[in-house]
Formats: sequence, C-alpha cells, structure tokens
Amino acid sequence: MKNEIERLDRVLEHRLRLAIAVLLTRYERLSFSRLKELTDETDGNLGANLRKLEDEGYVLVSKEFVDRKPVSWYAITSSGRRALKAHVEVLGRMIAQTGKPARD
Amino acid sequence: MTDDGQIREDLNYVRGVLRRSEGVDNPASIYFLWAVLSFFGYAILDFEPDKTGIYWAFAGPIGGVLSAVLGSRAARRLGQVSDRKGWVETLHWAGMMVGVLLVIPLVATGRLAPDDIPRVILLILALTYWSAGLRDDRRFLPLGAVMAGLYLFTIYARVPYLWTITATVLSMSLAAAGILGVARGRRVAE
Repeated sequence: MKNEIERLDRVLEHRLRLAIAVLLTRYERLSFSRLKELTDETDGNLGANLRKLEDEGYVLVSKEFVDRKPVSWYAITSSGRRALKAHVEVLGRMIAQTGKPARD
Repeated sequence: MTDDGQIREDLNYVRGVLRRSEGVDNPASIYFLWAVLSFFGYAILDFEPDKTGIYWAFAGPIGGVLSAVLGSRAARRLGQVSDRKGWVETLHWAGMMVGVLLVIPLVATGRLAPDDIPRVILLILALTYWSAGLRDDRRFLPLGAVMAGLYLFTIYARVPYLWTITATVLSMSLAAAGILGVARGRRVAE
C-alpha cells in the first residue's frame, strides 16, 4: 500500500484537479464557467487549480469569443491523459487491496 | 496524506461531478425545427402526395444540417463540447436516414406499395426515437411510443385527412418534448 501511495501523481492527488482531468477526458473541451458550475468551486480556487494543471502540462487553455463574450476553453493534453491513466491504475490497485469505494 | 477513506471520498466527489455533467438535453430548437418540418412533410400526403418525395429530399438533409448546427451551437454556449457525442448523434440520425433510403428498393421492386412508405417511415422513426431515448435524451422514449401508436393508427384508422391528423399529433409531440425540457428547468442549452 505504501509503495502504491508513492506512485500516485502528486498533481492529481487533489480531488478537484482529479475531477477536472476526468471531465476533460470525457469531453474534448470545457469552458471555465462550465467547470465552475460542475465543480461548484469559487473562481479563485478553480483558477488556481487549473493553473497548476496547466503548469504541469496536463491541460491546455485557449481563448475565444462565443456570442461576443470571451470564453476560456480547457482541454487535456496527451501527457495529462497518460498521467491520469497511470494515477487511476494506482488508485484501482489501492481500492482492490482495501475494498470498493462507498456508494452514495 | 492519502489514506483509504480519503480516496473513497475523492472518488465519490469525482463521480458526483461527472454525474452533474451528464443529462444535458438536446436544445428545444431542434425539436421545434422537426415539429415544423414533420408537420408539412406528413400533411402534404393528403394534399399533394406526389410532392412528398421532393419535399423530403430537401427538408431531410436541410433539417439534419440545421440540427447539427443547433446542437453544436448549444454545446458551445453551455461550455461543454464533446466530439464523441457529436459523432454518436450524427451516426444515430444518419443511420435513420439510411434506413429510410433503404425502403426505396422495396418499393422499386414492387414488394411494398408506395402508399405504405410513410407508414414504414413512422416505424423507423419509432425505433430510432426509442433508441435515442435509451441512449441519451429520455424525452425520446415517449416520442418513440407516440410514433409506434401513429404507425398503428395509419394502418387501422379509416378517417378523412389521415395524414394531416398524423402530422398534427407527430409535430405536437415533438413540440411538447421541446417545451417539456424547458419547463422542467433542465439544462437545455439554448
């Protein structure tokens, strides 16, 4: 178990960043406002965590106008996808050792 | 510090976020568009049946392209773009159109009477709507049932203006599905 913990991706250990990465593998692009709506986070917290993912090279940001309003779009990079896959595999092994996650 | 309890909590949080991202309905404008196109497309059978083919030759592809544009615009406005969902939608509805086109050889070889084409199309619509309801937008489930009911109605009913009645029920059902999505306050990206 201890070995597995060390294999976890430190950036994706944060649940908000993990949720963002998972969302971005499901959808090609998500806007900042949609991410805010889905995660129910403040602008500041969401922005800081997105920046962390961006700095790590896990997500890419692009800006464009939709209906004359500026929109920031986020997409996962191939290295972000690889990191998430590896992180989830470690989590899967950890869960297999300790039991299934609690259901809602 | 990562421990078992924390992992469970985090995964439940991620699952909750993912669940919130699902269940995005198609924009109501697509339902209204097809309500209008279908009304004229079926009512025309009572008044100018010879022009039905030419009507759908234009209305079908134009409706398909407009639906794709409306869906794409709605996704961008919502801030949630999924190429995969776009492809699944395209393949689903294009599959229906191919199904409709494949009825032509039945008529050309005399195995199906031309008058029965709209009935077969209603059956294809019923199956396509039903599978769309199972796959994605639940509003298509009752629509599939309505189409199946209309299919039977057009076989057994002996009433004047059969196709105008069918067109009215069909388009009102589509419009109701669009209105229902808005009224329920669900995320209809309009």
